[in-house]
Amino acid sequence: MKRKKKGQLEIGFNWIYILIAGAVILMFFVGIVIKQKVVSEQKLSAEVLRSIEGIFTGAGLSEKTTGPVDIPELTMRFVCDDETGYSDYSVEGSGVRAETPWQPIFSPTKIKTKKLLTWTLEWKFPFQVSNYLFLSSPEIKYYIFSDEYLLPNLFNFEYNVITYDQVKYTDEEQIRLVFFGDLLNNGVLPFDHVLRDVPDEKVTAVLFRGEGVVFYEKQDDSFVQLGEEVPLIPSTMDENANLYAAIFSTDPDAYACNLKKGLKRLEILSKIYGKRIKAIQDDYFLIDSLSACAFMIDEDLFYGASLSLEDIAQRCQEDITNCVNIKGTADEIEGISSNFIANTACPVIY
Amino acid sequence: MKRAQVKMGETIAILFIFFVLILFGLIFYFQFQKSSFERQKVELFSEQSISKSLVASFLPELICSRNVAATVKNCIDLKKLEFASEEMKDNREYYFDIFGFAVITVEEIYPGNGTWVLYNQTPPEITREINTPIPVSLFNPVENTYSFGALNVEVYT
Repeated sequence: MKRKKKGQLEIGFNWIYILIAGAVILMFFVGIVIKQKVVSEQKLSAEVLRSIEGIFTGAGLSEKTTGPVDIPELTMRFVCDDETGYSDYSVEGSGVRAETPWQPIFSPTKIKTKKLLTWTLEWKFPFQVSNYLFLSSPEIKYYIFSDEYLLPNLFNFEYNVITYDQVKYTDEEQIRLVFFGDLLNNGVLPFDHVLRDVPDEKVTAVLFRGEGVVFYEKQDDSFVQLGEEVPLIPSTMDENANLYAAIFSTDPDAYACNLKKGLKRLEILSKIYGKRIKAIQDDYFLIDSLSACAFMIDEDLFYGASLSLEDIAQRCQEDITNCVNIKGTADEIEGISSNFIANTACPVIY
Repeated sequence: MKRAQVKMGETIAILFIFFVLILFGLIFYFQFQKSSFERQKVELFSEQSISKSLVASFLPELICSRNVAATVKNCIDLKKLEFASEEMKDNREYYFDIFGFAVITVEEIYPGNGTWVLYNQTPPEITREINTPIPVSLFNPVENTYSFGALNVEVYT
């Protein structure tokens, strides 16, 4: 009887032992697989960001270029905090991010796609200040309520839109409405309009009125203002890069934050150009005290204008709402430059 | 009882050897990952060095001023260069965000032999460095003449 009990105990204990050992081994391997999965995803995100960083650098240096960038299907997040000036982009959920402290990148806050669309446009004020990089995707549709402001053909947009009836929804990732002058129907969507049933976070709008830009988000059946109105910083080019920047940005804080990157460049360049023209005049007088070019340079006028530009850039960086009525100074410098260009023997101002 | 103990000992020995083999496999795998990681670091550093060189060669602070008629590529305005290096010193943090640890110099090769240090931030300890020279024209706006030079971008880590 005792022996029978011993055998039963031994067999039972063996099975328990096998189960425990088996479970431990299984958990060990499952743990390794899960850990490797996380590491692989992070590695993929890092590689994608690395490739994109190179593409963004190249795109940011080439003027007026557009191009598609094929990437693995993922969701990219773009952050630019107006208060701290911190900015980066990352693959959502990966924890891997690349900082962009100086490069102005205007894009929706989130882009889910396997093809990024890029467009580079320079901001001149009046000299070349910075190249802005605009990002979007084929899954983002723009409806522009104007026939004047077109995007490059690469982008998914319709222009000369007049009524809400022309605005459709065919399962796009995002819809962006671009208004000029005033919101259509005070921003209230018509009854039974397809956009009413679209999730709010997928539909945004921007309004250009006078010298300001207002951003909107959809809340149920109407558009509600997001944040404060941001001044539309002018450009001395026909294509105002700051206007297109507001079309691509969906967040007013990120828009203002990226604008300040350009303004920082403007501040530095104003100083350099001001000192440059002064130095050129001094050299001309050394070479020839009767130099026509030297006399053409009205040092006070140009130097004063460049100081004003520098002052404008500083004030705008402190508070973007200070950026009003600033085009006059840039036009003044452009006027001085035109006089120089007319006299081909003299160096250009910028 | 003895038989059971022997069997238990066998099982434990098998498990022990099994885990030792797994351990060897893991050590080999992590060593491989480490060397792969080192290789990737070198590649990343090379890419960053090229990016920074491109950015330096297209800086609005340096490139030749343009008028409506003509655009000159790979050209540095000497008058801008003089003041750009001052501004880079005054805005050290801003340019550190762009170039990190690097030394950027402009060297005139012909006909003169001037050298300008535009940006100079070296790390306390240098692990790796890459120098990328970029041929450029150096434009003197007063004399309206060009000379041949090189923009040297040394990136450190």
